[in-house]
Amino acid sequence: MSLEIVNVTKIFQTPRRGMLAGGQSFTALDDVSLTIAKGASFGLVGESGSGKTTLTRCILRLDTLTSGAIRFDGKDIHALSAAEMRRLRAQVQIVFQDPYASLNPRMTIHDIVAEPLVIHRDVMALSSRQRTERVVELLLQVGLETEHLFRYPHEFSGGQRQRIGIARALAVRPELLILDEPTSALDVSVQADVLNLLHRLQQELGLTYFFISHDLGVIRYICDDVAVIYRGKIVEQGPVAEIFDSPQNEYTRMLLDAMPDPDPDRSPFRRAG
Amino acid sequence: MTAETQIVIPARNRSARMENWGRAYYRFRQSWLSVIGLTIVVALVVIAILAPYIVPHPEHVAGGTNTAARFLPPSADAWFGTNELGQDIFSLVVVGSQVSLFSGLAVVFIAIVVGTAVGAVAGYFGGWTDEILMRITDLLLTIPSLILAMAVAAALGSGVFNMIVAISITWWPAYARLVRGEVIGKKEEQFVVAAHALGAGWARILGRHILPNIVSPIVVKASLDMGFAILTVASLGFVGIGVKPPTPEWGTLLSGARSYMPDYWWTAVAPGMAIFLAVLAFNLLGDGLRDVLDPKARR
Amino acid sequence: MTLLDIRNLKLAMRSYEGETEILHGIDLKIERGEIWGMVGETGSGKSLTGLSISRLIPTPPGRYLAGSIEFQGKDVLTASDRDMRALRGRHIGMIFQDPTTNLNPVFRVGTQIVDVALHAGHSDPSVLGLEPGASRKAFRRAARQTAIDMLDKVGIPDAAQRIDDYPHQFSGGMRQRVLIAMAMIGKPDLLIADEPTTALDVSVQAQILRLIHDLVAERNIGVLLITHNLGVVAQICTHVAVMYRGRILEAGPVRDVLKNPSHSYTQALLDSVPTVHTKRGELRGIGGLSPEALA
Repeated sequence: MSLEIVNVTKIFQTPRRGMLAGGQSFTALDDVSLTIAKGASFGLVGESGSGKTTLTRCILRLDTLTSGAIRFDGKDIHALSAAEMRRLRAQVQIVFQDPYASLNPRMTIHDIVAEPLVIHRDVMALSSRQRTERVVELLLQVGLETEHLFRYPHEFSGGQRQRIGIARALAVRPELLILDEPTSALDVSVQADVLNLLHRLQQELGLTYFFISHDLGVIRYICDDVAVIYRGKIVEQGPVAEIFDSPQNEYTRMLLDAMPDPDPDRSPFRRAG
Repeated sequence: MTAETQIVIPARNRSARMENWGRAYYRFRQSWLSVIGLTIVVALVVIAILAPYIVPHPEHVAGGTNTAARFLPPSADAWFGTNELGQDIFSLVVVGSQVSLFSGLAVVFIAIVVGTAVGAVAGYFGGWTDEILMRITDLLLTIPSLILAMAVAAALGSGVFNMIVAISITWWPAYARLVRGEVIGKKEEQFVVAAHALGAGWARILGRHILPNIVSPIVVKASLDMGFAILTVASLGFVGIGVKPPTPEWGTLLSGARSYMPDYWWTAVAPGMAIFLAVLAFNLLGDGLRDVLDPKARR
Repeated sequence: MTLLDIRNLKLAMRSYEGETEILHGIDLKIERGEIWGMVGETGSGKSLTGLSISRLIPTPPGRYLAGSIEFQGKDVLTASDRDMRALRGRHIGMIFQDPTTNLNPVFRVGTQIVDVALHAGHSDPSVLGLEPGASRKAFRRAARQTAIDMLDKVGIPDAAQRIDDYPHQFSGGMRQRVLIAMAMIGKPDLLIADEPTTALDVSVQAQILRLIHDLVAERNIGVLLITHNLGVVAQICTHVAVMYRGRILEAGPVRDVLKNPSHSYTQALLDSVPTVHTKRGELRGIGGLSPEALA
C-alpha cells in the first residue's frame, strides 16, 4: 500500500471583511478517501475548481488538512517532523502542468535537474561530479541529449521542458510521482510522446503514478484505476474500463459525453443535423 | 545504468549566455533614444575616471587661480569660459563629474543592498516580520532626503561620506517596497512552488529562485534613480552642504555662478548642462533597460 | 461572392535572428455557412493566419511578401486603416483563447459590450435597429438593449441584471460567452475563433461549441476555428485545414480529411490523440518526423 488518503476534508476560511461581515468558509475537499497501490497508476479526473490542485498541495504538505489523514507507507504525512518530512519529500515528487512556469528561467538545465540532489544530499550523498553524471543519465533517460546540459529553459519546446520537469522529479529516485496535468499544455503529438515516456519510465523504474487530468482519453490511456472528483467530492471510483464503459454517476456520464472525439461520425451536432 | 562509464560531459558553454546578451542588445537597439542614453552614460563614466589626466588646467581644479583671466567668455582656449577666479570652467566641470557620478552610484548601491535585504525578508516571511519591517520603511519614506541630509550635515559636519549616508537612509525604503512586492509576486510562481515541493529551505528559495528573477526591475529602477541621485547630490552642493570647496562639484559650481547671472551666463550654463545631460542620459538608459528587461511594460 | 479568399499568403517576421518566412503561401477559401477548422501544432502559423485576416499583425516586425486576403471581394492587406477599423468588430468578429485577460477588470461587462455595440452602430446604425441620424440617446438605449439581447442569446441567464456585473463575477465559461457576444454584436459575416475553448473545462467547451454551431445555423456566417484539438474540429467543423510549419498540408471537407487523410502527417496527428476508445500502446507520437519525411 503506497498512498492512502483517508476521509480528507479541507475547508478554506476567507478572511473577515469589515466589522460585521463574518469570514466565509469554502469546502475544497469533502471527505475524500482514495487508496493508491504501489506500482499502479491512479487517475483523478475533475474540472477546474473541483479540488484536484488542493488535494496535491495537501499530499505535498504545502497546505494543511482540516480533518482526515494522508498516509504514505503507513506514515501520516501531516504528523511528521520537519526533518522526517524532508526525507519523505525525496520519495514523493511532482511534475507540474505548465512546463513554461515550473522551471526557473535563470537556471541551467543541469542546475534545475541537480537541485533535488543538492537539497537531499544527506540521502543521495553524491559528489558534484557524480551529480553531473546522474543529471546526464536522467536527461538520456527522458529522451534529451547531453548537449542540452548547460542550456536555459527558454531554449526548449514545451515537450522538452516537460521532459526536464520529469527528469527533475526522478532525480532522487522517488517511489510516487504526482503528475498534475503533465500534458494538458502540450500539443497532442507531443502529448503522445510524453505519455509514452511516462509509461516506459513506470515499467522501468516501478513507479507509482497519481495522475491528475481533465482529459478522460489521457486517463484511460495511462491509468489502471480512476476517481472522478466534483466540487470536492469523489463521485465515482474504480477500474478505468469499468468507469468508462459503464459509468454509474450522472456527472461522469456528462464528462464522457462532452469529450470531443476526433471521429466526425461521433459528433453530436452532425447526428442532430 | 551501464552507460555511466561512457558518459561524456560537455563543457559548460557560454554561448547561450552570450546569445541572451545579443538578444537583449537587439531589443535595446530598437529605440535610438536608449542608445543615446547609453552612449552619454558610458562617455560620462569614462570622462569621470580619466578626468584628472585629461583636463587642460589641473592646477585650477586643485584651487589655483588666475585673476588676470577672470570671466573670459567661451573661446578656443577655454571652451566653457572662465569664472570669477579666472579658473577654466571646462576643467572644473569635467573633474566635478567624479563627485556627482560616484556619490550618486554609492547612494544607489547602498540603497539596493539594504533595500533588497529588508524587502526580501519582509516579502518572503510575511506576518509580523513584514509588518515591523514595512512600518519602519514607511517611517523613513516620510523624511525628505534634503532635510535629513541638512540635519546630518549639521550634526556630523558636512562631507561627501556623511552626505552619501544621509541620502541613502532615505533612499533604501523605496527599494525595500519594490523588492517586497516582487518577492510576494514570485512566491506564487510555479517554479518556486516546485522548489518547495522538492524540500528546499528558505535561503535557497530566496537566493536561487526568487532574487535572480527580480534583478530586472531593480536594475531598471536603479538606472532611473541614478539621475535623481545625481540631482540630489547637486542640490546639496547648491545649498552648500556636502562637498567642500575647492573640490569642484556641479551643484557648488552652479551655486557660485548664481551671483554673476545674466552677464556671465557661461559660468552657470556649463555645470547646468552637465547636470541636465547626466540626468537625462540615465533616464533614457533606464527607459531602454525597462523595454529590454520588463516584459510587462514592453510593447 | 466568396466570403474570404486567402491566396498565396506569405508572411515574414523580423527578429534578432533576422527575417524568417513564417507563412509559406497559404491558400484558403471560406464560404458562408462553413465552419473551417484550422489545426496544427504550436508555431505552425495558424494563429498568425487568423490575425492576418483582421490585419492585426504589426508591420514591422511582420512583412507580407506575397499574396492577398480578399474579404467580400476587398483586399484586406491594401485597405486603409479606416476601412480596417470598420471591418473589425463590424464584419469580422474575433474571439481569443483566454477569457480572463480579454475583458478589462475595472469596467462593468455592460460598459464594455455596449461600447462595442456603439462602435458597430456608428458604422452601420441598422445593427442596432436604428435609422442613420438617430439621437445619441436613442443610440445609447438601443446599444444597451442590443447588448442585453446578445448576452441572452449566448446563454447568460438574467442578462438584463448580469450586464451590470464586473468580469470577476463571471466564471470562465461565462466570460467566454461574453466575448462571443461581443464578437457577434456587430452581426459579423465572418467569425475568427482562436482556441476559444482551450482554457475551458470540457463540459463548458461543449456548451460553447453548441453556441457557435447554432450561430452559424441561424445567421449563415462563416467561421474560422483555430485549434489544436482534433476532437473539436470533428465535432462542429464542416471543413478542415491541416497546417504544419507555415503550410497547409491538406484541406477539405472534415469527413474526407479525418476519415481518409491523404497526408501522412494528418494520419500521425490522428494517431496521437488518446480517446476513450484508444487502447494502451496504440498511441503514436510524431516524434522526430521531419517535414521532408512528411512531404
